[in-house]
Amino acid sequence: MTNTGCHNAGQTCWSCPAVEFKGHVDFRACGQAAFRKAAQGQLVVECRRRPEIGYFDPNSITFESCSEWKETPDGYLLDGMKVLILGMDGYLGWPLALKLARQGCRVLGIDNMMRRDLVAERGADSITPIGSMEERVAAAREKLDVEIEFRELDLMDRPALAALIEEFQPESIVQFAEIPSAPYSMADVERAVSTVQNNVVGTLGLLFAVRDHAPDASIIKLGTMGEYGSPLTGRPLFEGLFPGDAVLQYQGQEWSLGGELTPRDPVSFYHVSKVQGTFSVYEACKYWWLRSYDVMQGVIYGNSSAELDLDPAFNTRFDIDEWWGTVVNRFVAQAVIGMPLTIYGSGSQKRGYITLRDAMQCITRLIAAPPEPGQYDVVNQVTDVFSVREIAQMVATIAREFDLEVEVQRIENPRVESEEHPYEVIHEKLADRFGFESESAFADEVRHLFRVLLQPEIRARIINQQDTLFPKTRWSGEHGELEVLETWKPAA
Amino acid sequence: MELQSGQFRERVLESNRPVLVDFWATWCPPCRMMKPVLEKLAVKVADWADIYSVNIDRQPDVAAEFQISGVPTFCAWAGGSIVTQRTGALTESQLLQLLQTAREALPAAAADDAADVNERDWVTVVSGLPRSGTSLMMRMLEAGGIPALTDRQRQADADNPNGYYELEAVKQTDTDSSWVETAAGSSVKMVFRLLRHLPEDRRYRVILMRRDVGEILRSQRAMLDRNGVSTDIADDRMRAMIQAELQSFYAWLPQQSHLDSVNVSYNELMEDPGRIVRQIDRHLGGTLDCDAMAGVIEPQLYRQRAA
Repeated sequence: MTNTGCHNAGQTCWSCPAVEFKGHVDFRACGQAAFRKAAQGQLVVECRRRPEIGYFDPNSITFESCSEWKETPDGYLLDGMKVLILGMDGYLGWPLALKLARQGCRVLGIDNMMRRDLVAERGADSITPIGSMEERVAAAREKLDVEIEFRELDLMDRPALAALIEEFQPESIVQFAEIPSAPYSMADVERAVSTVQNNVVGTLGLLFAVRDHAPDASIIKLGTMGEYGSPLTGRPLFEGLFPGDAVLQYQGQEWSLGGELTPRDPVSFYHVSKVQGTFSVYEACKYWWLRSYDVMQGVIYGNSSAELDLDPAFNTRFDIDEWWGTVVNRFVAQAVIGMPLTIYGSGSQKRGYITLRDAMQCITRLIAAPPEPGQYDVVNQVTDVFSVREIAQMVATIAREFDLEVEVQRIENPRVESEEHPYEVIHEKLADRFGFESESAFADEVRHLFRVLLQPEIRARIINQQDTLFPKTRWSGEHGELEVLETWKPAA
Repeated sequence: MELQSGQFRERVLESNRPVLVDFWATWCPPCRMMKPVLEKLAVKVADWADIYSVNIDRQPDVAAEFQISGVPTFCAWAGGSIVTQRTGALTESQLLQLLQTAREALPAAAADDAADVNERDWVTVVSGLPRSGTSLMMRMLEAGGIPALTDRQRQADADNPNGYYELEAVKQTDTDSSWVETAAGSSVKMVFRLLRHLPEDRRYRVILMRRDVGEILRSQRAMLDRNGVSTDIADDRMRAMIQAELQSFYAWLPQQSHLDSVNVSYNELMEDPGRIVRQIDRHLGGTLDCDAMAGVIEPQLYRQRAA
């Protein structure tokens, strides 16, 4: 029984990255040879931080009772936990670095700064001005009194990555260093290949480096809800694995599907790369006893968090263009400059959504409660399901509070996707097992965005790049302007 | 239930009931997913079989002894030997099939063991959490032919319109258990914590009422509200406390040779009284008036159903 009710209070040294397993550990996968020599006895551990305890049963100490784990608003956190953030310069990487550093983690981030170049190549730039990595780290030191370490390093530089992991000995690794754009991956062969190279090969190289130099670190792998697609049968989108009572029936026979990966049906080559990443991580956990949470994240929006709100010097990047922006952020930007909100096709496409602030809480809670050795698990990181049309309506309604009259426009769908489909997302694990409670609602987050984007200098930056907002990239490879199907003013 | 080191012989090899053992590992996704399925099935078959889990990393010697070459592996034991086994996730009905195969393999004498004890020697104990249907079970047993040992000091009220069926003396069992002398052949209601204080020189048949903890909390809260009592403990905190306490109790109970227990799910009892009553009757020796027992159930009392 635990006293604090923290989600990870009852976890033990079994899942603590600060212990080392002693004795015979063999790597086996489900259903594969699991023979073990009887003489080996039970597994014991040694704590790297408190070696004076000696060897002990990994179940005997809980996080709650361990002096190395400190209580925080997001559960117990290993004091000074060494967290390696891959892709720290990104939309998610930087706010996470700030949050973790503020909670007492030792944060080291790497980035190849590619995102800045890719956005510039599109003729766009972050709408909220962001400093160089050096400036950001200095701001964090000055205003938050935290030391965040940054190194410019490409995930594809495998020898350098391996050396870094060997040197830093991370206890948790957050893999955000992937190219995150579906339309970019569909633009042409070079961009598709670049996406697959970076994401698939980058993650694969990471897994080998972790195996060789930090096998007890937990890997938080960022996936996307788009890995699942949107099955027309209405089959629920389970959290990555089928529940134990899922049954396949066929020709009078039945089989359990419990624990098997659920079908993936990616919706672009970017999503294909994410699916491949899922399989790579799943296999690495099986072969080498690595441990990972694979986060199927909904579409993120917003630019607010406890840390980001403190000072504009902490701004995270905020993109709104066709390739690098996401729908809610883009709609607010369009509303601010009087451009119609562009809906692709019917607008009935449903997706899962989550605010940046909530996503950061979820990731922190996952880091705080590491999986057990060899454990691969999946969470669906989503708080709401909306259709694109609903989002346009809600954004237009909120825009009126700011005296903005907004039009909505349906355009020919540049993507190949089902526009009318059921969408039932199961998203229970984060709340049930990790104690996640949403801290930000759609309307509040969108109001905050309006307040930020309506500042004259920010609005001027949006106007400057308004040509990048209207989509041009078709999944079919065809060229030419997309046709506007319908424009209307939403009712109040 | 997870078997601890050293329990295997007594619980599995020496058991006279069919036993299903789930060999599993924490790093195996299907194994983890099977847990709720096994827990559900364990409650369903509680009156005739046992289900245990063995973590192969914590008990590698056991896994090696039975040559477990993959996980999850489900082995059905009867009379000390494996009757059938399968590796890989199974459906609930496939798991049940394994247990049924084991039951058929059991020597008939062992299965009838319980019936040999003289009916009149038993004390029947109804236990469980408050609000898990214990009063209802007392009334059912009374209707079925086992008299209730009660002083009726606690009056019926809106929460238990048919009375509480309590005996004041039971509440002092930890200091004075002399009431047990008068209890042979009767049924008595007691909070599960007090079971630890029952004199071990007698034999008891325990009917353990189980109910969804969320429902219990709601029912309890409704009762507290009606009585104007407030509590500051949040439901999730309360749930965690109750579950931890229950877990230790569930681990303790089967080790007691003087307590012969049967689990009864309150929710299943409400959904299918006929079937559950027949199970209870079998466990208590097959002499009860099942129709009268089922007739006691009044679904309108089932107010705090899980959503």
